[in-house]
Amino acid sequence: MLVAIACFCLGFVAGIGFVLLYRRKKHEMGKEDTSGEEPGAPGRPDVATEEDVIKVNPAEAREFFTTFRDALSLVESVIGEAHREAGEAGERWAAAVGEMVERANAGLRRLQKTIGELASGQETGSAGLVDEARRTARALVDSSRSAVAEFIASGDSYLEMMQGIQADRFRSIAERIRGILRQTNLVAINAEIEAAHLGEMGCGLGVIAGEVMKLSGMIGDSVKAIDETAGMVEEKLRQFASEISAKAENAAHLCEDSDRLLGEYLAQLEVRTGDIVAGLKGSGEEIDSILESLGKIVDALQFQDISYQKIRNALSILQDVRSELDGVLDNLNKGGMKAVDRRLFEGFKRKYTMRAERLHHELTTGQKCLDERRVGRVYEELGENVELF
Amino acid sequence: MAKRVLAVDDSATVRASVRMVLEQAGYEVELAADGEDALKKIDMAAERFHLLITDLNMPRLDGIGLIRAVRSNPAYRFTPILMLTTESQAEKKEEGKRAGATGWIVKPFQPEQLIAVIRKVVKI
Repeated sequence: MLVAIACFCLGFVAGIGFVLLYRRKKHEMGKEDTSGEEPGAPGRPDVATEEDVIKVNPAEAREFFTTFRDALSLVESVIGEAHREAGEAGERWAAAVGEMVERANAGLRRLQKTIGELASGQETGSAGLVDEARRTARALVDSSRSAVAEFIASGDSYLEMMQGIQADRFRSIAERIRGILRQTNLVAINAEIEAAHLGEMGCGLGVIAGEVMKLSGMIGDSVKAIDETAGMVEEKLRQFASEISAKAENAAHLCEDSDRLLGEYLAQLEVRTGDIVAGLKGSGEEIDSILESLGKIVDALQFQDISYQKIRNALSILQDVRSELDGVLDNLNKGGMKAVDRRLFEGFKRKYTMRAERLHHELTTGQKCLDERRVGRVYEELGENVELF
Repeated sequence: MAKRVLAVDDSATVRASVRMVLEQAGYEVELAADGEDALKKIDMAAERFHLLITDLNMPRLDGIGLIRAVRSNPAYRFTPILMLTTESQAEKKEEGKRAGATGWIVKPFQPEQLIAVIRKVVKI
């Protein structure tokens, strides 16, 4: 959907640029027919080669940049909202995972302690200790089961949120951008240009349109890259979440099996205490296997963090560009400015290119990380991502 | 006695990851959400931390600022400090090294790898 927004913005600016260039060409041809001047002769509105200043109608330029800035602000606000929600969902998810592991660990420690005492033989036959083991194991089973359920629920809600970012959220924002563009009344701008017979002012605006078109293209590329990365990260997260959910389900079954096994052994309490100890050890080992998925959980949490950071970086770049547009508007507003220095645009382009390069770097490193499957790779010694000073 | 580790990161998910991995390996873990929070935890701690693990980019006080502040405390002059960050540029690493970092780990990390690095830098 981000691609659609980007294409829409690009199409909008390209359309204006095309109209202006067409009008300008028509105007130039008309002038050539009547004046007979040579191309590039003095008086010709060829600001790109002869002057370092682009002359514009401040009102038109203001409207132009305001529209562009507003569209960008909308995307920024949506991504900002997504950023906040992703952070909150990540925190809920992390808390659920932490709770699950903490409960399992606490239960295991107690169970292992009891099993150790039973196995030591000193307390063999102690009904009190066996009861304690039974209570501990059952509490562990109940606690693990509820913690796993919480983890699965929070994982589901996180994935729903990620899907929402990619679908409904951006669909609605595209509608809002269309609304804003309608408000700016492009027909009126074109009519003004037509009325001015596209003299120097029209030419200046044509150059601005060209510059903005380039910027829009760069923004479009960035947005497309963000969209692709978001989709990729979302897919990776979905794979991890699916895998972990399966493990968690399996863990829940293991808990139930352990519970059943424990019950069976406890029913034979009168028969052999040794069997009870063995059974409890077996239960402990099975439950311990839940924690073997720790690496996968850590992977998933880190991928969540990567996606969160990518959204944050995208937001930061959008904020930078919007801030630059605010600067342009501020300059236009100061004293009814009739000329916008070319350097302003070049500075803007340069800054934006730097941002785009930074974004590209972020996306490339994220992609590399995912491509190489650094998470889960077996490292020799400490790994290529470690440096000790 | 378990070694005490202070892990500093503004991401809740990274904090949760580090805590899980370290506790599983037998370390006692304290968490902080940024550099300033970490300095408060250090000041209030009854016992000295044996290791600090910190992110680079954080609000209020970043990882480099935290290392500089920690190194100015005589009690932490030789305490190992690991940077755990997504940043991998050489100049950032150099800045971290100059500030007093012991090592640099680029996220995402492998649990076994993190433990291996910690065992290298924390003397038992």
